[in-house]
Amino acid sequence: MTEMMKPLALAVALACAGQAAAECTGAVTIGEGVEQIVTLIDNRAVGGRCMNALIVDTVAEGANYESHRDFVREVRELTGKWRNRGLISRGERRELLSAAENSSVGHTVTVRLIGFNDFHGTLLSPGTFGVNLNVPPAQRPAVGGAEFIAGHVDKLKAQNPLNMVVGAGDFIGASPLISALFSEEPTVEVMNRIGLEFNAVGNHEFDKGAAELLRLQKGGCKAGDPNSCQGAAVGTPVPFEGAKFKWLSANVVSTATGKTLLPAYGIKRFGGVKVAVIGMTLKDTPTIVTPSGVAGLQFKDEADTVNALIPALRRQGVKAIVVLVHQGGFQSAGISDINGCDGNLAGSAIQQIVSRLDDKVDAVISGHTHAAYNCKLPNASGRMIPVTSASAFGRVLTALDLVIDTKSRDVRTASANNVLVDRTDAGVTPNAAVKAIVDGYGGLVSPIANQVIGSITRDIPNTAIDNACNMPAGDLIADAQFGATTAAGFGDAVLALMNRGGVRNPGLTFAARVGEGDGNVTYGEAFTLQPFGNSLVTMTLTRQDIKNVLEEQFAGCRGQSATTTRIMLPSAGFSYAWDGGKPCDQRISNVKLTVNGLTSTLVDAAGVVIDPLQTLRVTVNNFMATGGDGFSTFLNGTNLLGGAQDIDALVAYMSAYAAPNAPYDPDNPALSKPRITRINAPAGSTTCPGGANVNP
Amino acid sequence: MLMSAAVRAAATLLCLAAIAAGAAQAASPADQRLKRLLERANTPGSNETTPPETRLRLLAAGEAALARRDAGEAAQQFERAGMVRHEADAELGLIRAYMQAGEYRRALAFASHTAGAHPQSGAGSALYAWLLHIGGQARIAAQLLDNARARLPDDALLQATASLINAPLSAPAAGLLVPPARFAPYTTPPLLPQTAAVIASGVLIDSGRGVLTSAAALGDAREVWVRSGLGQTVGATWLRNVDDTGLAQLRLSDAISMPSLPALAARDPFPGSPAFAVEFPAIAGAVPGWPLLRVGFLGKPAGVAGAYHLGVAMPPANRGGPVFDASGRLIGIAVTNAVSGDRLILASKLRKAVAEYPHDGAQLAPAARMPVDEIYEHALKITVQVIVSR
Repeated sequence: MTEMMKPLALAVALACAGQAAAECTGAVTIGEGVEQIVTLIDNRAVGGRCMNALIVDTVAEGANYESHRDFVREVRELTGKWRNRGLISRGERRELLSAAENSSVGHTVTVRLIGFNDFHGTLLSPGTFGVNLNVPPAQRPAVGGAEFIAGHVDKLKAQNPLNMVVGAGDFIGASPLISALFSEEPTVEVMNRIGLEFNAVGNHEFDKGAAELLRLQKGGCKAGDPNSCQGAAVGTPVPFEGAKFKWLSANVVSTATGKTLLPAYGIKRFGGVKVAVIGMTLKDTPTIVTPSGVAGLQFKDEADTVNALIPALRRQGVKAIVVLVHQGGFQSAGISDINGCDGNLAGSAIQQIVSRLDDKVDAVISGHTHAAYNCKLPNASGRMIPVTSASAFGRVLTALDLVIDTKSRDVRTASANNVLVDRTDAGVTPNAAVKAIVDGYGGLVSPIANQVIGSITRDIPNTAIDNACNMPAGDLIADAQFGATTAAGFGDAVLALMNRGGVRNPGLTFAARVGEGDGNVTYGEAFTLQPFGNSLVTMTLTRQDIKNVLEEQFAGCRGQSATTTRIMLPSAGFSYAWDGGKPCDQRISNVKLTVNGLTSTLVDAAGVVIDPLQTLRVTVNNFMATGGDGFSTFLNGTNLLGGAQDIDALVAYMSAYAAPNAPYDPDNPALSKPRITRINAPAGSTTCPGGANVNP
Repeated sequence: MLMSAAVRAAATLLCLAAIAAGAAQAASPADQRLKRLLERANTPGSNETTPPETRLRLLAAGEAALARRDAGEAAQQFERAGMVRHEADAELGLIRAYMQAGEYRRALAFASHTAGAHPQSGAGSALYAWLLHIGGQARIAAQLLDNARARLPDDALLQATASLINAPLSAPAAGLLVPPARFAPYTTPPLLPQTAAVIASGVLIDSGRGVLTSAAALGDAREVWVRSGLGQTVGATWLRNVDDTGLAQLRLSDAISMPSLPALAARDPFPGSPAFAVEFPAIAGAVPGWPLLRVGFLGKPAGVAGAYHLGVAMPPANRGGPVFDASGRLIGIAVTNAVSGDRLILASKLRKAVAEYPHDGAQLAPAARMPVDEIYEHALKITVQVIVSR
């Protein structure tokens, strides 16, 4: 048994043992069915549990050993412990070991393939779906959605740790905006996290051509597409990480090289057993895809391709072989149960392909028609093999269980079951990480992102433009926040202060980014500038508070971090000077405030606060209002009034600079710049301080 | 005489083959149909195991159910047709069945597939583009339509859709109201007179028993009806004008089914915040349709209490439609007048002025953002056409 399986087997054993503990009857048996061995040893409690339950030897108990030897080893260890504790005699141990050695337990291993097809980028639930058409619409559960697919896959995996997640093509293309707008990168990223391992190409994988498919496989951004590589906004790597799973294209050959475009098959090893999946699309793909999508490619016959690969797989010791093919059929008119096979897909393309498959193929997971079925169809030798399809859009998953002889490494039996991806299944936990990615792309797809909110005459950087620490983007934001809170009832503010750490890269750029036109600023850009979703808070502070909070900007002063200097950006009408050569609480001077054309001096040139108890209304963001960035003085604020979100304030402010109005000019004299002046700086100083050195 | 199944099948095939062979001499419609069936059965790669006649019957039954506004039954029939063969016609039916049921998001997602999977179907791309357009994704809709028209330059449906999108004051008509790509819900009686016209939009209130709409638009109307985005049509009577809002309150002859509203904003929104305004175009002829959502940012206070400049660019119309914030909360109703232009009457004012205006469901800001297609889905169910005959 693998290390992975031991916890499961133990858990099952404990659960079973717990149930049987009250009554341990009969004799200890090893194995099950006709091959069960009945010993002469009484089934009795061992440490509160029954021996029969503690020996994990049946499927129901979770037995799935990779070899018979593994099982015997388990029994040897277990009985050794019992013997050491005096729970069984030496003879009893010998008999149990003998029964284990003579049993058939571990002669087979069950590997589960979890398959689906025709996902078509359906990251959000496609609605309700019933197991068949007889289920009244009102009783059909909501299905699908990437986070629930992940949850159901996890559930199916938990039932058998020896598993492989596979697809039968069309996972991308013909997809909703949430995937299509971002060149299908969201679907690939989500599939990576669902744990998809191998996926046949379908016709829609070629919608944008082979080169684009290869990019999705290998990763990297799509040249010239501003919507590519949005990972920073959704929590995935940048550049785009590419598929962690392998797309397979056994029957798609490059005419230039004669080689398959992508690998023909994938092999996964389970202990001593190898399982191969051969992946391919329908040979008629060129007839249903735009010619440019399949230029330079040849699509070969499906069955011939599979049969030709069998010898190579056998040479690698692979005896368990499953075909993933993007071709399918329909059940005949009936109730179309997801586990039905009305009409046995007679006359369909998939039936004809299967009828020509080599007998060494053990099962087929198909797709393309969006139908669900669970069939057994005759192969070229007349042997019936499972042929499945799991509807489309992530509504259904197929669990295909292969019982493999651990000695011959070939499949003894194969059985399949289609299950709904039921969002109401209380036993399934939706995957939060997957949901976060989907939600992230859901936000990006909003039409609001590319709305133009105003325009600018040149770049508005988020960096200091002088050694006093003036910053154009910070000035703009402070002015916007002041504008949003100055009116009666909105705060009555006379001043706004913005923390420079809240002004994010790259500021606002003049050059167009998503085709909005040079100079135009989109809501998306504004959101990048202020991504934190802070809201505005207007509070009453005294003039002394204002002096103190300005002194608090410098490293080591008034509780500010000893290693960080944080110069805030004030709104127009407010100005002050600072001298980094002086000690704490003596650096700020010449604080002036102009309101309605009248200028008041709050702090004189000597640093003395004039009328220190006089109050004024000041706007900051809620992060600062709660003492963020070390500005604990703001905690003195009274009469707090919550306001708009910071980005709303910026949008409202920029609306005055939207066409047909003149664009925002950061050099406009009316903006009263510079607002911060540095005095007595060292000769040659050009640096705005940000660290422990307040006077660089 | 008893015959085994295998023998019977062989005899049938022989019979069909004989008919096929003699088709050139005896080409009756029945013979031709049999020949097609035989060819299909013998064609490698055919995925169809059910006779095409069955499929056509299913499509017809689906359309008939849709015309009865039985969206569930229609979806069932179209779904069955889709399980016979993966084709655009059944999918177009399904999309419209979802829209008839008010499931915009489901319709939109499925339409994306139909447009992508059946690129030779102009109807698929046309319907997808229209659904994107009405849901606020105008730029992407236009791009999709351009691509489809480049692919199918002679497709009349695509051309009509492009014309419609480029004419913001018009609504689907003629060819765009005919299945399989009908751009509108099916409606209930009463049949409206020829003189009826859509003059404004309105918002359902009072559990669907009342509507708020533009007071000025009603003017001297002799008769008034309202029709929901799902096609339900009922008569209406003027109840009163609402204070200084520019809105009138209507009482409906029968309640229009409406869902509970998404959560209401605890306080009024701020200028600059995203706004999603929804309304029907004003048109002569009173044809049914789906409302359009437009995106913008709320303007500044309008100088009167409880009103902002709308801040969402809209073509000239009488307004009356709902406006939502980025969390999908109903923040008020759009109105207009010649002097002050488009304004938003804020929910806080409406709550005071209209007892039936929704009061509950308060939610603290800031809330998570709601996807725009979900906002549209809510709007579809509470926005009505206000139709008058003068």
